[in-house]
Amino acid sequence: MHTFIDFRMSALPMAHIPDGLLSVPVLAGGALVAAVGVAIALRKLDDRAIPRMAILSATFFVASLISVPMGPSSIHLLLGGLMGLVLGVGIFPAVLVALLLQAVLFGFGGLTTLGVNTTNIALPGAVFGVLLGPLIRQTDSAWRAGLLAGTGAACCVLATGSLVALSLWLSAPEFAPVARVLLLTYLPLAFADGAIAGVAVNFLVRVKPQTLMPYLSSSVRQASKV
Amino acid sequence: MRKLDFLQTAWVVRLAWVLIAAVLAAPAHAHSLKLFARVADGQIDGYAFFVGSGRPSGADWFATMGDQPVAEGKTGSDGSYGFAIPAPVLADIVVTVDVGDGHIASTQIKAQRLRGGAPAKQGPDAFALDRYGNSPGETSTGIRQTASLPRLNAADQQAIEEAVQRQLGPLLERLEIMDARMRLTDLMAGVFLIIGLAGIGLWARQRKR
Repeated sequence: MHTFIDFRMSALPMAHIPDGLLSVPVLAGGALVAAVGVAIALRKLDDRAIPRMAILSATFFVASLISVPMGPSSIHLLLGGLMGLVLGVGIFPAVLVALLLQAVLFGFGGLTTLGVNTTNIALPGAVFGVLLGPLIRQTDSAWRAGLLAGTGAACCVLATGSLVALSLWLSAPEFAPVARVLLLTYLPLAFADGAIAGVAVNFLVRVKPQTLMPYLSSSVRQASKV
Repeated sequence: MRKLDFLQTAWVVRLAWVLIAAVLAAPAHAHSLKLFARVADGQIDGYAFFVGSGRPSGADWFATMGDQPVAEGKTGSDGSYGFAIPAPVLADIVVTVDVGDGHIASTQIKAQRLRGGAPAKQGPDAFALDRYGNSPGETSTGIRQTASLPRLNAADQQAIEEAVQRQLGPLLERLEIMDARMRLTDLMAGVFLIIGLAGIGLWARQRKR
C-alpha cells in the first residue's frame, strides 16, 4: 500500500487530481457542484463578463502550469481568491475551461476529475467573492482592501487544500497520510497567493475599482461610459 | 463612480503590458533550459541547452543517486558535463544544472539503464534478454516457444548497450528540443483557445439580439 501511496503522491500535482484516484460518489458530487456553479454563472453572463472571464481563465491556465517542487508534491499559483473577487460565480466556467485545456493539452489533472477539481478551486473563490467582496469594494482605503483580499485569498488556498484532502480521504481512507502532507504544502502557497491578490487589489482599488465588481448594475454601467 | 484620469489610464496600460510580458516570458524561461544525458563507456555525459539559443557555460551542475551526491562541477563552454557512473548503482541518478536566476533543469537516468539492461539480481527471479531483445522462450512476435535461443554474455550485452546509446544520443537530444518547443506551443494554443471561446461567446450573444 505504501508503494501505491508514494506513487500517487509523486503523480499528484497540487489541486489537479488525476483520473482513477477518486471514488464515484466523490466524482459525482464534485461534478454536480461544478455544474450548478457553471449554470448560475452562465445565467448571469453578460458582454462585460465574457472577456473578463477569458482573461482570468487564461491567466490561471498559464500560472497554474508553472509548478515549483515542494516535498513529495509541487505547488503552483491558484489565484482562486482574486478570481472569485473579480468574477464572482463566474469563476466556475473560467476554472473549468482552463482545467479542461490543461487536462487535454498537458495531461494535468484528468477528465473524470474535472468536476471535482473545478469545485475544489472555484468554490472557495466564489464563496469568498460573494461574502467578502462587498466589504472589500466598500472599503475606502486601498491598503485595507488589499489586506482583506490577501487574507481572503490565502484562506481560499487553504480551503482548496482542505477540499483536495477531503476528496482524497472520502475516496479512500488510506489516502489520509497523503492528504495531510499535501495540506502542508499549501501553507507557503497561501502566502504567495495572498500576497499577489493583495497587491493586485490594492492597485485595482486605486486605478479602476469597477474591475472588482463581477456584475455592474445598469446605472453604474451608464455612469462608467460617461 | 470615479472617472479615470489620464494618469490612471497610463497606469492601467503599463500594468497590462507588465502582465502580458510576465505571462509570455515566465513559462518560456521556466521551460527553456533543458538537459540532455547520455550513457556510454561507463560515463554519463551530456550538456545543458536553451531551447533555440545556445548553451550555458560555467553553470553549476550536480548529480545525485537517491539522496546521495555522486558528482558535481561546472559546465564547459559548450554546456557539457560528464562523470563516471558510480558503482554500485543503487538508485536512479538525477543530474541537475543550475544556471541561476531560477533557471534549473534536471534529468533522471533510470538505474536499469545504468546497469546496461543487465538483470538486477541473479537467482530464480533473474531474467536475461536474448539477442532479439526477448525474454527466454519468447519470439520477436511475442509468441512463447519452448526452445530458448542462446544467451549473450555480459561483455557482448554491454557492447550492444553502448552502441545503441551512441545511436540513440542524437535522437534523444532531438526529442528533448521538440518536447520543450511543443510545450510552449501547447501553452500558447491554450491561451488563444480561451480567447477564441470568448470571441465565440460574444458573437453568439450578439446574434441573439
